[in-house]
Parts: sequence; C-alpha cells; structure tokens
Amino acid sequence: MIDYEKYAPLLANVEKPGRYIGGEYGSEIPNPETAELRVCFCFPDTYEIGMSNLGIKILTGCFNNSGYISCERSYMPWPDMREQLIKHNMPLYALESGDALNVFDIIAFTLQYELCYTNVLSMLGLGGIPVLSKDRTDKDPIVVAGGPCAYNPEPIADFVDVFSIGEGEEALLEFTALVRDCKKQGLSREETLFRVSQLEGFYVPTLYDVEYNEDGTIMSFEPNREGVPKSVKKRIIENLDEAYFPCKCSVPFLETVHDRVMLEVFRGCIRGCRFCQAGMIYRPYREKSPEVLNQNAREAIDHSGYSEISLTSLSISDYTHLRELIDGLLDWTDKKNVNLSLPSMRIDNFYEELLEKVSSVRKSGLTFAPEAGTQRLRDVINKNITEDEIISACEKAFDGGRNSLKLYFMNGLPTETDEDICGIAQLGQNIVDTYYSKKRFGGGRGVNVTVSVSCFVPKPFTPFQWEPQDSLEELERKQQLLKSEIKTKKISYKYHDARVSRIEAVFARGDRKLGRALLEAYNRNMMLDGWDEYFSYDKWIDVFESCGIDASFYANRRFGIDEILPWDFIDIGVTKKFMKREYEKSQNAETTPDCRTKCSGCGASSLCNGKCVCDGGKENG
Amino acid sequence: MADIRVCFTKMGKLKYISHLDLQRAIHRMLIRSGLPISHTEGFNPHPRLNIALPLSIYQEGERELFDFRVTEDVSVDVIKEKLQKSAFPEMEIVSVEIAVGKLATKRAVWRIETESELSADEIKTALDGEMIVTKRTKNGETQVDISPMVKFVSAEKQNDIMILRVELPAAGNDYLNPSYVTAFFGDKLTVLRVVRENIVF
Repeated sequence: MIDYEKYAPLLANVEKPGRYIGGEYGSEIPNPETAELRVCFCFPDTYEIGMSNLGIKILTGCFNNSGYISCERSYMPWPDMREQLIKHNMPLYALESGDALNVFDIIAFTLQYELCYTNVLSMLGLGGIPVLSKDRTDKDPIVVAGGPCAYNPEPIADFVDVFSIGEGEEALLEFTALVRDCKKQGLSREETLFRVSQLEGFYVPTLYDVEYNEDGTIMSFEPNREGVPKSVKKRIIENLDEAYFPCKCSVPFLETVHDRVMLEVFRGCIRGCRFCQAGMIYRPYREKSPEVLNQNAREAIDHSGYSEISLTSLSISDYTHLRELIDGLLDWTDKKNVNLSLPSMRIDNFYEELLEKVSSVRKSGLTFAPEAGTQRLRDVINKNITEDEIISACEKAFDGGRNSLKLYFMNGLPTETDEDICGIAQLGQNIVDTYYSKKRFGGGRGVNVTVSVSCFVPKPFTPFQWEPQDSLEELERKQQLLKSEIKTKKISYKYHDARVSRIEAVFARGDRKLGRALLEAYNRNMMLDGWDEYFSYDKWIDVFESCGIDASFYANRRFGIDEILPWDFIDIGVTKKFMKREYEKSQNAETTPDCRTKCSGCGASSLCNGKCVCDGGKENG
Repeated sequence: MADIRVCFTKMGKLKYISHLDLQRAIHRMLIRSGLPISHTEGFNPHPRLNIALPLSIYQEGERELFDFRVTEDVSVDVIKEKLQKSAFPEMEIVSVEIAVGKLATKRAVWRIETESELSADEIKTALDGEMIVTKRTKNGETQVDISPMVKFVSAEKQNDIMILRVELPAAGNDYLNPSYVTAFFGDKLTVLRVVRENIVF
C-alpha cells in the first residue's frame, strides 16, 4: 500500500490532496511485489477527468484479472502538485503503490484529445522516464499509447514506443503476454519492440522511416526492417457480450466528471456524419444484448453504491432493443432509488412517454445537434436531420412543460457561406417563435434557447480529412457575424475559442515533424493545454516559429486527394475509397443513408467477417 | 424504524478527504451495505445521514459519529458487520448502537502532536493566560481572546514529540478549530498531526 506519509509534506501544500492518494473503495490491486509484470495506466489529464473514463476502467480491470499483471493508475498532477514534486525532488508516482513511474515494466497512456500531448511528456518527465523514445534504455519502461488520437500517432511518435490501434481488451493482453515473455528471456528493448510490431494492431514508430517532398508533404512511408508489416490494422472486439465489463470498479471520493455507472450499450454509429471521427473509427456497429447490459448494470450498482446509471453510446436512440433494455432496468432501479440518464437520446414520443411515466428517468437537458444552420449544409455534412424534425421535437418538449433547450453547431464547415451562418440565427429564432406560437403552461416563464457553436476541426479518417480549416480570422469573423445576427435575448450564444481549435487542427492532421514542437513546448513547461487557464495560443505560435513549423501547413491547407497522408498506413476497416466517395458526395450536397437503411459499403464489416448492422456488408465500392 | 449511531475512524489517508466528499462516500457505503436504509423524500432521494461534526481536511478523527435510519429491525451486530464490509479502505467502524437523543455535540477533545522546544509547563502556563488570536469572521478579521474556550487537558513529551491535549467547544453554533490554538504558539510549535479523539455531548 502507498506510504502516504512519504508524500505528506507535498500533500499538505496542494489544493486537492484527494487526487493523489488512491485508496478508493474497490481500488485494490494484485500484489505488485509478486506480479510478473507491472503496468501503470496514465491518464494525461486531471484525476477527476481520468476517473470518469470508461476505457481506463475496462483496461485496468482486464490487466488486473489477467493473473500475472499488477496494474496501477496515475493522473496528470495539477501545477501545485507538480511544483511540490519538483521542490521535494520526488518523482510522479502510481496511486496504489506510491512507486515512481520509472520502476514499471509498461507505462500505458490513453490519448483522448490532441491538446493532452504536452501532458504526456510532462508525466513521463516527472515520472523519471526519458521523454524521447530514442533515449530510453533496457531498464526504462515500455511506453504504449492508445485511444482515439492514436489513429494519427505521428505527431507524438517520437515519445511513444508503441501504439495500440483500436479496441484494447484482447490486443493489449497479447501485448503484455509478449512483453512478459521477452522480459523472462532477457531480450533487449529493441528486440522486444520488433516482436511487438508483429502483433496485429500495434505500431512501433521507430521501425518505419518517413521521407518528405520538398513542399513538406510525405514522399514515402516504409518499414525499415524486414518483417515489419506495411500497414497496421485496427483491432476490434467482435462479441461485446463476451467482452470484459468493469462491474467492480473503484468509487472515487472526489466528485468526478462522470460520477455514476456508465453502461456502454453499443460501439460504433450507424449515422455517418462526415465531420465525425468517432463515427468512422469505431465502426463496425456492434450492440450488446439487453440481458447482459441489465446484469452488468445491476452488478455495478450493487458493488459501487452509485445511484445513477448513464447509458453511454454515440446515439442511444439507434439501439435496437432500447425499450426492452429500459423496461428491464426500470424493474429494479426505481425500487433502489437509482436514476437513469440517457444523454444522447432523441426527443421522440417514446422519450416523452418515459419522462411522464417514471420519475427515476432523469430529465436530461434538451439538446439538439443540427451542427449546421441550413438544410444544404446539413446535407453536405450528412447530418440527417431536418428543420421540421427539430421544430416538432421542440413543440413536443414545450408542450410537456419545458422551456429551455440547447443547440449545438459548428462553424467553418466545408462549403460554408455567410448564408449558412445566418441560418443558425434563423433556426434559433424559429424555435423561439414556436414557443410563443401558443399559450404555454407556466404563464410568465419565457423560453431560453442556448446556441453553442464550436469550430470545425478536420480529423483523420473522416471524409473531411482533406479539407482545410478556416483561417483564424475567418472563424472569428463568422463568430461575430452570428453574434450580430441574433436579435433576441431569448437566445444565449456561446462559442468556442477558435485559437484552441486551430492548435487542435495542427496536431489532428500533423506528422512526425511536429515532435520537435512538442519537445520545445515541454522544455518551456507548457502543459494542461485543455484548460483555459493554461492554454496560450501565442506561446504555441512562438514554439512553431522557433521550430520552423508552419501551422497553416497542417491546419489550413487543402490536402491533396492523392497525397500520402500521415495516417495512411493505419487500416481502420473503413476504406479510403469510401472516404473519397463520401467527400465527393459532400461537394454536391448529396446525403448517404444510415447503415441500417442501406449499406454504403464502407468496408468496416471486413473486420468481423462480414457481420454488420447492414446484414452482410454488401460492398459496392 | 430506528435511528442508528455509528462511531468510526477517519484516520491516515482519509485526512485528505473533505467533509463533502466524506458525506458522499458514506452515502454510497450505506447503499452498498444492502441494509434497509431510509432515504430522504423529494426529487433526489439519498440516504438519510447526519454526521455529528465536520472535520477539516488534514485533521484526523478517532471517534467520529454519524446517524442514519433503518426502516426494519436489524440487530446492531449485523449492522456493524455489514457496514464494515461496505466501508472504504482505512475506515474502521468502532461501534454501532441505537441512537439515544439527537446528535447534539458540545465539546471535543483534541490531540495535537507537535515538534516544540517548549516544556509541558510552559505550554500549560501559556494556555492558562490570555490567548489573543486573529479570527476571521464574516465581517473581516478581529482579535479575540480564545482562552475562555480552551480547556487544557494534558501536555507530555514522548520520543521528542510534544503531545498536547485540549478540550474545545464543538457545538454547531460554537466551534473552535484547534488551528487557532496552534496558531497562537506561532513558530514555537510545528504541528505534525491533529486528531479529534473524542466528541462530548
């Protein structure tokens, strides 16, 4: 157990010491002294965010159930704690044993968003591990990273020994078994990593060489050693019912972002919005059965003492057995004073009926994500929702006594014009008018429509991966234009900082050359870029300039359709051919139906032997 | 239906857990126990729970108290066993009994472990005299003599550690944090540990 007394002088001087002590209910781990392999799962953001991540719960659980691994956790310390560690000359440690990160065999990171990259470097440095992969020796841990940002691993490739592409439940256990065997045989780091590269779904950056054209684009990307695969195929779990679910996870003392049981209902999405990376990289669509979900939920509630279950998936209304699942849960949740929340639920008759019937279903805030202000632009992005559908759902909600809702949009979308921006204001106004079109219950209460607008960031493995991001000036102009178009106080308008989105865009479509910038940022003590109080656009621009990097090359350039993209060597199942087809359709504002209505031949079904929601995955491309 | 009084420890690592976080953790522990727990009514029901006194972060407690209510007859032994099973690491259930009267606390005995050059007598003498400290209130800072509130219990040196015991008011409307007592000594005393040993009714 952690010798917290050792850390007492540090903990006495930080704002939230509870972040750094572990010891949560259910956080016991197999004995570190006797385990064959020690893994520390690192989350490159604060404790409160990391403890809310379902992926970490699943993977640490998988490791600790393996019989030979002892897996601990560590989170990005807040600057007050970082300062204390440095002042007392103590390394960043794992919460269960209190041991420094550098004594572990494997350090595993999850990369949830681009702006956490500086935190990865920061945690490595604080943990006493050389930040550059090439500087590590046989006695240093192997650093592995996965998660959505691993689909373009190149910007952070200099700092990570191996990337795990796709779902980790099975793949990571193959990886740990291999590392254990190599350790037993006393193999070198280099040989171990070579063997890892033979596993499906693992990418070892040092085994590939990149050459560039004069204009900075990629000329070639090739393995530099015999036997290393040319492309890396994403791993998935075919049968989710048989996959590990963390029924017995740890229950934090501190209030975390998602402080409840999270029930993952399905993976993937049938919708195919053209800007959405999650909708592509998590294909094919796979559901869990309502029976298994119900049992998982019951066990997790009994174990944890939580009083809320959240059904998490990309668009919960698409679940085939939704009614059956909810009925099954309500059979016992009501009696146990357990609430259900359905965050991504579509507002339809079924939902309103549910709200009326049972008080234990949490009235989630009413939200819509039309993403664009006009039908034309919604067709471009393949957001299959019409204004009539939005208005009629609002009508239903207003009739039910609600008077506030939130709308999510993006600006800077491909082909966007000022007309589309004004359309956002118009849609908001139409909803306000809908509210006042008849006398509503509640009399004097007015309506409140929140319009929240983020900036489009082109992401790898989306049909918009070739598209440039609008320039900073243009994004900011559009934000102001929309502001001036909103004429009523019934609409509250919020927009994201475009400068954050621009840095995100640089790293999202970045290549290995960005490693220099990350290292420079790390040397300048830059970190916690996801936090307003620490993000500095000017510092980033200065870093890029000092490293001879042109941010526009990555963020604002239209990538050539036949150019070698930094992430081309990764095979996510969904084909590049499909992406190109979707990209072309978008230019003509042509939509693609969802996977259940008609298979669009994306290729993802190849990952599970042709089994797919579209029943057979009829390839037409 | 019965009100149950639980005496528990909040020692060691648990000193880093704030009162609000502790409250939430006890809610969950009560639910996990599987006991027939009474919940509050209303929009957001949660277990009825009344913690006798908050404990500041960094302070420990050897005999902390909370009340909760069961809706069916369960023996205190069974309750104790179930609570200890569902308790979080390092929380020890000291005793469980049927609650008599409300949790109206009056005073608390504190053990303050320090490093100090002062002798036991010097400390006692200091505590007997006037003790002017700066107290922060809603209306700003004021100078107050806290000596009428501080009752000296003992002072002894054990292995270079000066252990001071005082009894301080600990009622809802009349509470003195031991940090005022240690602040009075300024840098003549380095605090190692502050433990609430007992709560008096």
